[in-house]
Amino acid sequence: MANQKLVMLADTERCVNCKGCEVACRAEWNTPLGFNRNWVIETISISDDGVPHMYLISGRCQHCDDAPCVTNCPSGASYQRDDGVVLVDREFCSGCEMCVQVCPYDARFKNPLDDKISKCTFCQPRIDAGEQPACVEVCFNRALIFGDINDPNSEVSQLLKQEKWKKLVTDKVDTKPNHYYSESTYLDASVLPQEKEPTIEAEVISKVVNPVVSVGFSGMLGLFGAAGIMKIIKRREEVSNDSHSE
Amino acid sequence: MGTERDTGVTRRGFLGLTAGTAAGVALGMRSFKAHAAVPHTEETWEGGTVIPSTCNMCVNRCGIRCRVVNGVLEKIDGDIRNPRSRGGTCAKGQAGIMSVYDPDRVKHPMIRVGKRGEGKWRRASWDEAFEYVADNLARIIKQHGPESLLWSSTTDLTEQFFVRLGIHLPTPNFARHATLCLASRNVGYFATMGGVPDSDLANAKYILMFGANRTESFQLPDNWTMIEGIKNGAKLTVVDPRMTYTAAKGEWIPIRPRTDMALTLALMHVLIKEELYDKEFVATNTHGFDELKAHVANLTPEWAAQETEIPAEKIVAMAREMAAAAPAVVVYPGRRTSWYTNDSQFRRTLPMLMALLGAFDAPGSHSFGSPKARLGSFEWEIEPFDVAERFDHFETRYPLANHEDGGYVSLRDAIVDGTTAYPVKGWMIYKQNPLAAVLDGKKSLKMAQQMDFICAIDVQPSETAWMADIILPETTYLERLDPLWAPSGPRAYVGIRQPVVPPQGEAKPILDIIKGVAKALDAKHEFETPLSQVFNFSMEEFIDAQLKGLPIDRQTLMQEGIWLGPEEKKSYGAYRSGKKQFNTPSGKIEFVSERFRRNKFPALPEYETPQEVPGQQRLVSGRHAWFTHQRGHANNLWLHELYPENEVWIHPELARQKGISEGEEVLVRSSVGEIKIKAKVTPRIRKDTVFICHGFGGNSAGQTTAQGKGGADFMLMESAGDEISDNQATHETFVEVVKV
Repeated sequence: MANQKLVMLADTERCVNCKGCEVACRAEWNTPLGFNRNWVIETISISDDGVPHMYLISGRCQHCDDAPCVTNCPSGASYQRDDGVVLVDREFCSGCEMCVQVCPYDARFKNPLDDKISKCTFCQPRIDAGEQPACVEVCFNRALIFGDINDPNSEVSQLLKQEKWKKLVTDKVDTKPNHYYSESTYLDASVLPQEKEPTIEAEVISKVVNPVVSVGFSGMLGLFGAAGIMKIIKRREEVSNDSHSE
Repeated sequence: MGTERDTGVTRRGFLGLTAGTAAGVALGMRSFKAHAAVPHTEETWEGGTVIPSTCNMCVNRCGIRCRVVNGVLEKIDGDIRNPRSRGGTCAKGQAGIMSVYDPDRVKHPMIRVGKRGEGKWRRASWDEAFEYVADNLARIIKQHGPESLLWSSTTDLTEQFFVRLGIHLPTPNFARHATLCLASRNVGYFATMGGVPDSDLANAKYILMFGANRTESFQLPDNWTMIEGIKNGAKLTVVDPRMTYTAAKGEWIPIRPRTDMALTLALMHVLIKEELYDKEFVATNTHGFDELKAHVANLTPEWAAQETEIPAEKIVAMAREMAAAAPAVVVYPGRRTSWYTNDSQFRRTLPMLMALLGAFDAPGSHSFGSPKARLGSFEWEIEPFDVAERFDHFETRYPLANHEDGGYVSLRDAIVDGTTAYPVKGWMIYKQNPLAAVLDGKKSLKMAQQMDFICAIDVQPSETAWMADIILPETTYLERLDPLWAPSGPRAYVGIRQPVVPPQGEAKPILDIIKGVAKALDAKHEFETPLSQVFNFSMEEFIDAQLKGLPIDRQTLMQEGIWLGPEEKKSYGAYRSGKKQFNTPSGKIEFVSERFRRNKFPALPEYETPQEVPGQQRLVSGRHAWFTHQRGHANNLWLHELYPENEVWIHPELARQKGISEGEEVLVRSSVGEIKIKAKVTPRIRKDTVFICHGFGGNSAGQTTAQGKGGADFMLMESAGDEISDNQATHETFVEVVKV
C-alpha cells in the first residue's frame, strides 16, 4: 500500500457518454440531484473541410500532486494520501468552500445534505476494501481504467506504455494531476483547467493558519473561536508534516 | 425546476416518505471510520447483500448484481460473468433503483372516476379490480365476440402470459412492438437470407452503419464489440443525416435523408463493374446475380452522388475499401428501422451488399448460429381455436409481415377511419405505451376515446395508462420472478430475473394479475378451456420446466444468477461450401427475392427519388443512451437529471436564416400537429433535416417528473408505414421551424 500511486485513465476512444459512470457515482455516494462528483463532456472540433469531430471526455477530481484545494484549505481538512488520493476529512471540513473556488477543474461542491465538501475520492472506501471505483466497475466499454502506476504489471502501467496519453494541463495551469486521457482527445476550455485566484479571505486564512508560512496569526484570532482555531492549527501541522514526510 | 424533489431530496429521502420504515437509519450520514497515520474521518461503505438478477430497463437484459442494505436497494452493478454484457451496466441499468422508488409509481389498482384522461381515480382492492376487468371483458365478449378485443403488449420475458390469455378468449387482434421498431428489418432480411444474422464487430475490418446508433441505443453485444473492433483497427463509417455518438467514433457521412438505397445500389454497381465482388461466394451462395447486374448497370456513383450528396469519388473509395477488407466486413442490419415507407426494400440491399463481398460465414462478418442454451418448454393447454380474421385486413394487406404482431399504424387508422371488418370495443394493454409511441399522436387519442373499455397493466401512469378505465399495478423487474432468459451470444448461458426487494404497495407480478383476471372471467363466461386451468401453475413450475435437460436446478440458479454453457469455438464454412442452405425459397441469399416476387412486390429493390417540401425540413427521430425505451425512463429521477428535456436540432445556417439562437424556444409545425420546444443549434445535423429525440413531451399528469418537459416527436409525425412490413415510417414528415 505504502508504495502505491493510484491513477485513472480515461480512454476517450472507448467512451460513448452512456453516463453509466455518473449514475454509478450518484448511487454509490448518494449525491443529491443537481450535484455530481463526475461527468462526461462533449467537445467538438471542426476540421478545415467543415466536418465536425466529436470527443467524449469523462471527468472528475484529477487528484493533483500540487493540489490548490489542499494548500488553500484553512482547516487542513483537504489532504492528499501517500498513494495520491486527494480526500476531505469530514470531521475538520467546515464547508467554507474555499477549496471549491480554487479547483481548476470545478471538481468540488458543498453537499447541501451535510454542509461538507464533496468530491471524487476515487471511491476511497471501495478501493481500500479492494474494489474498483464505482465508475470503473460499471463502464460498459472499459473506457475508465484505474490502478497503481508504481506496479509495472498493472493494467494502467501497461496501457500507459502501449498507448499515448496526455493530462488536462495548460502552459498556465499545471497542478500535476494523476488522471490521463487518450492523446487523440480534442481538448477545449470546457475541459482544460481554468486559472483560479483564491479569494482574499482564502489566502489570508490559509496563510495565517498554515504553520509553514504562518504570519500575523494573533491578529486573526478574533475571527475564530480560540478553541476551534487551535484545533485547526494543530491539524494543519499534522497534515503538513504528513505530506512532507515522503 | 424549483420543486424540492428536483433539486435536493435524495433517494433516501424518498424512502423515508414512501416506505416509512428505517428512515432514521437511511437518512443518517454514513458512519465514520478512521485510518492512515494521521487519523482521518472519511466516508464509509457497506458491501450489503448482493443478489444476482437480470436487468429490464431495456430489451438487452444484462446480467446485474443488486446490492441490498437493510432491505433497501442501494446499488446495481454489472455481472462480469455475463457473456453478452461482460460486467457493464449503463445509466439506465443503474437507475433501475429509481423505478422501484419512483414516487409517481402506481402501487394500487386504480379505477377511473372522472372523464377519460382527466386523471381522477379511486383506489380499489385487487378483488374489485379483477371483478371490474372481468365484467367489462365478459360484456364485450357477449355483445361483440372476443375478436372485438385488441390485445397490446411489448416483447419481454413475461409477455407470453398476457398473450396467452388473449389466445384463449380467443382474439386474433394482437398489437405487439415490432411495427414500432424492427418489422421492416426482419421482413427484408428474412426475404433475402432467411433471418437476421449476427455481426462479428470485434473482428471486422470495415463496419458500415446506416443510421444505426450502437453507442446511444444499446444492443448486446454489439455496442461494446463495435468499440473493441475500432480499437482493433476497424474502420467505422456511419451514414446518417445526424452526427450521433456512433458517428463520432468513425467517419460521418451526412447523407441526404431517404436516399440510403441510392448509396447501397451504387456501391453494388462499383463492386460489380470493377469486378471487386467475391465471385466464388456469389456463384455458390446467391440467387439472381445476372438480374442484379442488369438492375444496377446504370446506377453509377455519379448518379448516386446527385441523390445522396455524397461525392462520387467517396462512393467509389468506400466500395474499394470494403472489397479490400472483405470478408471481414459488416454492413450493419440496424435495429429500429421504422424510418421510411420503402424500408423493407432498403434493408434488403444491406445483405445483398454483404453477399457480393462474400462477407458471410467468416470471422469479422455475418453468421448464423451463435451459441445458445436450449431451454425446455412449458407445456401449455392448447386446443384448436376457431379464430376470426383480424379486424384490420392486415393479413391481406401485408402478406409478408408477421401477422401475430399486427401493425400499429394500420390498425389505428382502420379503427379511427371506420374501415374495420367488425367493431373493436375493448383494449387490454400490458407494458406498452402506444399513445406516446405511434406517430400522429392525436389520431391515436381518438382510437382510445372510441373504446368502450381500456385496461392498462403497468408500473407507471404512462400516457396510455392515464387514458385507461383501470390501471393494474405490476411489480418492477426488481421485485419479481420471471421466466428464464437464454439468448444467443458469444457463449451459451441461462440468466434468471428474481426479486431483490419486496414489492412496493400492492403491486403484483403479471402472472398473478393474469390468474386473477382469468378466475374472475371464468365465473362470467364459459370458455372452451377454463382460463384458470390454462394458468394453473406457479412461476417456479414454469421455470423448472424450462430447466429440464439442463445441468442446473432452480435454487442453484437463483443463488448464482447465471448458468454458463461450455465454451465453444465458433466454426465457419458450412454455408460457404454450400453444405448448409439458407432459409429462402432458393436456399441461397436472394438478390432477386422469390418471396417478394410471389407476393407481387418488386423482386429487386427499386429506388425512388424522395420528394421534398420547399422551405421545410425533414423530421428525423431517435434515442440517446440515457433512456432508450418508454418504460417510465423519462420519469426516472436519475435519468431525468441527465437529460431533463429534449430539443429540436437545427443546423447553424438554418438557425441564422431564421434568426433562432441556441436554447431559444421555437414552434415546430407539421400537417398533423405543432409543439413548442427549445432549439439546439449544432453542426451535427444537415441543413435540410431537424432531429427531435423521442421520449419527451409527456402528457400524463401522473408522471410529475416527465410531464410537459420538452416536445413529443410523435405529435408531429404524419401517419405512414412501410409498404411491405407496415413498420411505422417516422421519418416521412416535413416540418416548419418557426421563431416565436
